[in-house]
Amino acid sequence: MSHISFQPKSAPVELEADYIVVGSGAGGGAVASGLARGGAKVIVVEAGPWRDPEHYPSSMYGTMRDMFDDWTSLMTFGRALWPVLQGRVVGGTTTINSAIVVRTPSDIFQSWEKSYGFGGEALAQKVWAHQDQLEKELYVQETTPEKMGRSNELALITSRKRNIEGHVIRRNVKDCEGSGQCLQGCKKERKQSTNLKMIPEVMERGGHVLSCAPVHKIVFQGNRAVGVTGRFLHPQTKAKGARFTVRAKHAVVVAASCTHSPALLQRSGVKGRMLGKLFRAHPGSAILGLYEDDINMPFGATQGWSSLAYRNTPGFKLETLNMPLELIAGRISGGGLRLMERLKNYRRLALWVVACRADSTGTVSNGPFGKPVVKYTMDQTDMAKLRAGAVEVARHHFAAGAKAVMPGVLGVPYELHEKDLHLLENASLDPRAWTSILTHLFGGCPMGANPDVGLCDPRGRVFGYEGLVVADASVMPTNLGVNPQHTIMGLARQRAAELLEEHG
Amino acid sequence: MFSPTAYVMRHILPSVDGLKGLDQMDVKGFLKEFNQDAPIAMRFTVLLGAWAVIFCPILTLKIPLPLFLLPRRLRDEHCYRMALTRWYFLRQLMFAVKAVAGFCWGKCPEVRAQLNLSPYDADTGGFRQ
Repeated sequence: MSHISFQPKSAPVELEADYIVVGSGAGGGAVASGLARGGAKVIVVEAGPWRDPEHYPSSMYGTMRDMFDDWTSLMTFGRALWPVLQGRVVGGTTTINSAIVVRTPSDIFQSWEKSYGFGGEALAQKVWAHQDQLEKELYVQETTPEKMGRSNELALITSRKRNIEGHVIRRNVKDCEGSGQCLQGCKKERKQSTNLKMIPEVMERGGHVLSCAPVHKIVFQGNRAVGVTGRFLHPQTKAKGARFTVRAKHAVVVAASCTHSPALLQRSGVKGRMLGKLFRAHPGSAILGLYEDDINMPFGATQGWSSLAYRNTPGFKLETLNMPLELIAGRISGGGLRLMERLKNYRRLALWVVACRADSTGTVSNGPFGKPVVKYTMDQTDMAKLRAGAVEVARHHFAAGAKAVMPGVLGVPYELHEKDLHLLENASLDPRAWTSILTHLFGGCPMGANPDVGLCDPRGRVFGYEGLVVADASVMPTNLGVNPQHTIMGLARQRAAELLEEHG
Repeated sequence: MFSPTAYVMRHILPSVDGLKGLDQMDVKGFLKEFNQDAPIAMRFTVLLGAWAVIFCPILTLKIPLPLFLLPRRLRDEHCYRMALTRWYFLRQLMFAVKAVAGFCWGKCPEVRAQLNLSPYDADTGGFRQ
């Protein structure tokens, strides 16, 4: 087994394997380990460095520097500038997410079949079978009550009290210690991110991993993808290192994320009507609740409670999110002495979020210096869903005993009491008034029955090319209304099974 | 040497009774590290944001003076209003400076002790070679 990290300028690094997997997150890790189990030789090429739990940062400054893609400086271009959050490290976003595991709802496969000509019951059964296996591999379980933390506990009790659907989130975290450090990477090694489970398995089975190795282009012979090229990049000094060329006997599997996968394909000259199209997300906004008693967000599961009661109508989900002090300092309205007085209440704050199941679509293209450019604006219908969700979060806070809520919406007072909720109900639908982020990205290389509706065929193969497969969330033509990690992994494992079948 | 970013950050998160602010911390030392680590686009945005905060009292307070010529009370008022200005681009610039200020402030061991939070371990920046 071998791992090749940053190589200084020297002779080019050249390798060959049966399959190359670009990216090591949920899609890359799952497809690579699936292929390796089938006996294939796999090389995983990851743009970020390989950080083990002892290297994980503690502060959010260190997290931005060491774990996130470009300090989250990738913004959507549109009516509002909203940051796009992704990991850039071996393990991808699985190292910095909340490890939420939700099986793909059956209505998703039906909607793909109806609108894009693939999916249906046959794909559902295959993906669910992979998800059964993944749940065993990744020790998927609910957080125990003693490690939930007060914010999650309050939200759970309140959903029972209000008689709305609400549940303890199932996560790929083995015996959670409640250290509240999911976003920084779990130093306790409880979160089963792909850098701990799947990527090491690839190496144990004879594969290789290149880290600090951003892929510049996919190499083609005619219309057949035969490899990738790039240049090592030092994660601390940003110095450029040796060039690398990796050749694939059977296929190049792209799993570099919804922003980087379409950008890489464009940079490599891939043509397709749907390339970069159908970019979607679950834009989210956070509502803080101020309580009489200590909440202490840093203790407990980072995300321990969720409600899917409104997933279909009007189209949003509710979740808890324990946020570190540094991010709260940026999130709370105002500046100066009043901001500091507000921050004194940090221990009494609980942050709950609404994630909108938005129908709005955007585009991804390859921008200057190889950076993706995302154009995306939430339309008024989606903004109305986001606002309705924010109101529902506020109601949940009040039912849980919050003294006040802080929606952080421009034009709405800093603190709202229950009698003032109509001010949030009538808040502006201009995206610029809202403090939101884009998580859970979809599309950019969508699957479809033909090139008019998809870039990839129902097996993830790019139309018009041979040996070029996409295996991350960018193949999903719709959003899910639930956390996508499990669906990404289930589909990626299915891709691995299909490739092994195809190449014997 | 005058650092516009450090100057503005100290005003965004100043000390209050019982909670240490950036005016009592080595913000310049933090920014030196930040300028080594952060991508150029982010450094530029934060610097632009700092200058915007310095020269925009005309928009928030209707006073045609830069931040450093205002009395302390008005400097504080300006920082508050900049975060809530109706000019979206300016608000986003202010947010960029405020976010970085938060990174510096929130990891300070004394601040964390004052809020009864555990101190952070050092961020080694290490990776598998």
